[in-house]
Amino acid sequence: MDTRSPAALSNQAGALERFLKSNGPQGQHLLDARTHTAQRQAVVHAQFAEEALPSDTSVVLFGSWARQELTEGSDDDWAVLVDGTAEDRTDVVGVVELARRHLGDGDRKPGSQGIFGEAISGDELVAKVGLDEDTNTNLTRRALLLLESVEVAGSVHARCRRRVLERYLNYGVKDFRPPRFLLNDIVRYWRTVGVDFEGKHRDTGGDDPKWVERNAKLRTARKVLFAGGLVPILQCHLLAKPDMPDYLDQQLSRPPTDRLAAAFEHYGAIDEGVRFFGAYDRWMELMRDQQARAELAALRFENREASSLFAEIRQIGEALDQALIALLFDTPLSQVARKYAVL
Amino acid sequence: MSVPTVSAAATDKVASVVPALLDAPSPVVSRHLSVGCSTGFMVDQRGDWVGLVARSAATSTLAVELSALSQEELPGLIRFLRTDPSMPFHYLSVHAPSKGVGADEAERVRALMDLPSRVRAIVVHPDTMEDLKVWSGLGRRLVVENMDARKNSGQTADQLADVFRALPLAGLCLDIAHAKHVDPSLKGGRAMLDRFAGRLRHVHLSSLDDSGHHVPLTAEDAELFTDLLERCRDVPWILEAPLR
Repeated sequence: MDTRSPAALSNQAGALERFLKSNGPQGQHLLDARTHTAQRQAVVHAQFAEEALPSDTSVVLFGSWARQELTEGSDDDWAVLVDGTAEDRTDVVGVVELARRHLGDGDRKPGSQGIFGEAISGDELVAKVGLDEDTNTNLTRRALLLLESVEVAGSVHARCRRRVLERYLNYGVKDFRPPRFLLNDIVRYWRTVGVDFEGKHRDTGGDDPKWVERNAKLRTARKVLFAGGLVPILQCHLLAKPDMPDYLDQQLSRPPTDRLAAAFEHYGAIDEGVRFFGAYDRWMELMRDQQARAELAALRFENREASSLFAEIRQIGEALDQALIALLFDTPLSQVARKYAVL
Repeated sequence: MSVPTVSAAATDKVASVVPALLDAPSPVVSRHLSVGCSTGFMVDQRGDWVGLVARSAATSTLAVELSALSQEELPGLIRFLRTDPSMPFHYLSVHAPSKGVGADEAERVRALMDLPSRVRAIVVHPDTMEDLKVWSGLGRRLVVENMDARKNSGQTADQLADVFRALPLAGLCLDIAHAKHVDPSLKGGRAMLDRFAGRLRHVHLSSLDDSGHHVPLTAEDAELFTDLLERCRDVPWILEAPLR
């Protein structure tokens, strides 16, 4: 297939399954996690099925739920998404309470940074892009709505995601060029995550109890998430401006591993893709292993170098890096990656 | 005890890094992201780890394989690495002894397990492995190399499959010159990649002379190896002989 043809960019659904089936025996833990995610999503859907939500709200899950990488140890990073404003809305407060009843039991509660576990205004995500009012929280919510979010109740998720996408695509976009505004913000989000990781280390006096877990996720799931956003944006160089919103919408409705599996296949980086998903599958195996998770959670910055588990995760991260660099810079994608992904 | 450092020596050599790689006989080599030297061919400096590192850095600061090819070299290498020397390489591997190995296999593996975590891969010849289960302690760092035609095992995908079945986390070091020595058509090398693509961590790159010794990569071999190397774009390539 001509990799310069826009027709080649379709059919991301099930791309991971197809890639693994065609190219090797590895990947069972990724596939099992997808099955587990689908089963748990069905349960949550059923829990919300009897509930009447205001017509402009959705309950949305982020993180491993949306990446289809749910494990027994995953958090329920949920939010109530409002297609409008969430201020002074008692009915929205009711949806938040409802979501709290169904999601986030015990250790599964959303993170403590105030990103999730409350209502998110779609209007704010769209209106506050850039400058001081675009807080870290707003940037994070906006990026994750695009890159890894899935609806479990309500019906406004797709509309809100499209509104956010169009905020980037309705201005300054050129035919057959990656949309710079969106590209810059997704790159900014990824770099912000890395910078904030250091900020958390400083704020805890160098003794952040979650340093090792955060570092491990940056090397693996977070990197995969970023690459899964970067590649479709770069691939927009094959499209005229009017085709970009539907293309990106369709891409972002799939988990990042589907987007990347399709890209490894499309650009003929099969061996590199096999190693990429082999390494990521091992990460998933470790995340599904309660003992490994507990060991990782108990590690601290000071003793991480003595841990063979942390050493292995670092190797997994390096394998992911190497495969992604080969995809970006050693395939026909390199022409656009060199021009747009660095400067 | 003073800590050996190679950073100054390496810095002095930085200016020559790019010319050295650009001088490679093939653009496939010079444009590869992560390529570096094995110290195995630097026989005149054997045991002088500070000097070997500096000499390797003169070719590339991206990757290196510190080779303790005989068992008696390993303690010195371990001592050197335990001093946490400053080195410029992004990727560091160690070639485990393949000559003069003692009878106590478990003790040999324990010594390798003590290598610091900055050592990302430990390359082992399969003919030095008898009790495979003791090698599992090296986990993902264990990288098994395919052998040349002079050896009795580890030459083909089928032979390596027995090793990998017992060691699910182990990786493959594809020595392309060895693969050619066994099968000049390189069909065997392609079969290894077809079967173990997910395990590939490392490539050994050189040509072989008539007696099976590693020599600089020839232009003919660079061309012959290109289709295999293009399937190895994401892993470090280690030169087992000087560039020229």
